[in-house]
Amino acid sequence: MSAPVVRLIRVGQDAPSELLDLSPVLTEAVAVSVGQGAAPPTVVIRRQRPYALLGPRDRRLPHLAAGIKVFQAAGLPVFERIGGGSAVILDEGCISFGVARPCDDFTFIQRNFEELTEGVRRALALLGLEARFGEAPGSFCPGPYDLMVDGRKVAGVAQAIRGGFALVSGMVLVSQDPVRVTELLNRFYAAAGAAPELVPDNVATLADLLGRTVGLAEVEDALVRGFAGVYDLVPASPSVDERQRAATLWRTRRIG
Amino acid sequence: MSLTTVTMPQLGESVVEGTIGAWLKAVGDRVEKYEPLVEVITDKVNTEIPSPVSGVVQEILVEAGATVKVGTPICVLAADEPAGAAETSAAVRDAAQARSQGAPGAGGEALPRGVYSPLVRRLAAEYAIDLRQVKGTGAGGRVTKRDVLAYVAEQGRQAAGHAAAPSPTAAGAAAAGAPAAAPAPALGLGAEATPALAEVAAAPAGPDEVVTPADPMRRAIAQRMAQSKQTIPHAWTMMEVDVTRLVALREGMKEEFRRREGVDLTYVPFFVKAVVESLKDFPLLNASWQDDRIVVKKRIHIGVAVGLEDGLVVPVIRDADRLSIAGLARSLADLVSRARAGKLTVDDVQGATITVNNTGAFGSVASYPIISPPQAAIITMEAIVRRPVVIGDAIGIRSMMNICLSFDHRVTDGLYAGRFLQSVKRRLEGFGPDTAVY
Repeated sequence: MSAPVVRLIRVGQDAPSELLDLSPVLTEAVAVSVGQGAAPPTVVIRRQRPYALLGPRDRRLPHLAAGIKVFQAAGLPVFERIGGGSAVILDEGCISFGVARPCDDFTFIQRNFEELTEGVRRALALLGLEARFGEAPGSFCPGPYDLMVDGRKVAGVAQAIRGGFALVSGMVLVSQDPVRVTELLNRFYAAAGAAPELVPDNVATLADLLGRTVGLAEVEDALVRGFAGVYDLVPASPSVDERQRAATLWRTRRIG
Repeated sequence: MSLTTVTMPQLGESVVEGTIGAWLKAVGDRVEKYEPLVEVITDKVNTEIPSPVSGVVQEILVEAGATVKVGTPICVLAADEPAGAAETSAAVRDAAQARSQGAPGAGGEALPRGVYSPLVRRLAAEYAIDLRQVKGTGAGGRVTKRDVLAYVAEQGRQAAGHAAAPSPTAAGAAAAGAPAAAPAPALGLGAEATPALAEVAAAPAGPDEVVTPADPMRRAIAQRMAQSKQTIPHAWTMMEVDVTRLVALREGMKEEFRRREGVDLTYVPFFVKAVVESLKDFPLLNASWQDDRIVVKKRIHIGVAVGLEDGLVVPVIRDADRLSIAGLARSLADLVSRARAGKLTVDDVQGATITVNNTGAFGSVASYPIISPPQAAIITMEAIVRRPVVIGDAIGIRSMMNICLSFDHRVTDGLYAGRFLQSVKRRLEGFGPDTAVY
């Protein structure tokens, strides 16, 4: 049986500045097309400029504005995502991924997590790491479908089912410093009126786990090869509609 | 028709609770089987839940933002097809009645328990209407949210001249369902005003008087303003703001903005932006006083007063904190144009958490606005006036504007309100030619 044909959109090292600008909302813009039937299932692998990404529940923090100031003082714009989860930092020390396919059945949640992260698990295997689903207690944005290696979280994963699509998305921690990020997130939550007391102990980066310097290009390449083992990937660029939608989402998803 | 309860689904093997992210249908809305009904959030998932049946949303039992256990009833649907199990209806009824306790109706006296849902009671309080005047179309004649909103909308439509039939005479309208006067408050501030209003309506016209029947919109305004002044201890403060740089900014870009966006760039979106950003630091002005509790609103919905020839409407910019200045300008232009065309929907005019009023539009330089219950504050921007101002040891000509704030003194005090107004002032004075509007 042949592999499903899936569009591959990359925002890599040589991506145009405009696409890097839209990176925080690009995956959602693409997923909407998938849900509308205007595009086939799509994998997005992207870099980004540093930003903070809040989960839907974070919007209800009692002193959110004060928390946002913590991020802004650190030079981070703040966005809200459609998937579940809580606050994370995305920067040049991680690679983001997202896989969208048509879906309007919430009973597919577990299946979506399992199937749509298969490419990421294969990518980690190509790098020499065996990843399993699990939750890293005390880590930022914890959840039962994070990808763990030796009991430590190396990729955060979340899901949204809406508008006719399922979007499983997340970030692979390449070299992002968990101590620095956790400290910043703790300051955000403290200022915003919640104090989850996050700890970095159960978070690891690929560099930590492999004991060597790991470049973003190496991880991007592994992700492409990992997803290519599952799908028949067709390289593509976001359509004009998707770029326009992303531009609109950039304004509506940005906070502060 | 039968009632079907929708419960919080289990979104994953180990998931025991979920948060209502947003209702995608309102009470009274029709929903088709499998059509998205509600958005539910768990730890790592945000998903739309489809309707299990075709029908009409009868009642929402769990509001957005609340987290409940899996299996908890979250809404009731009046299904097209008969339900299979009688106990389903019983469970719905029990759940609804369990939530229908205690809150007084708009008339101030306790209404029979179990007759009105909390949502309906809250709406009645918000719009200051007597629920006994509202005809219920729900099961067994129950008054639904839709009935309340239809009642409010009908009043508004009649006032705006969009109703087919003219309004009846004042006496007739009062008899046919004008809201009851708000109860005399414990403070006693309105103890004389309420009977006075009634006397005016009842008194025969003298030889030197012309009696004009108040239309429904005028009566609604009268009711809400009287209720506000009788129940909310207003405090007032004013500051003057140097908006010279803002004027330069707007003058420099208004033509380009008009070309790009197709709407005028007025001063109002800048003012709204300054208010919204300040509310993030001073959330007690985005709150309401309810039964000896202060309820701070986490979302910022700005009511913008729009004067009409024959009245006043206050459409709402929802989640105004998510919008840029340009986005606010577009939202304002849309709401104002639809307000003046009489095309606002009920959803457009409900849920404001604070009100902004551009009283400067008609030349006012200071005003004392009345708070719209159950909000805690209303703020005005007055006319921008070029006048000499002492700057250091010199005198310069600056564009100056007063901003006025009325706030509920039960919720907060002058120091806090003053600091809020200072924040608005600072932000307005910070706008200048280098300000990004996108």
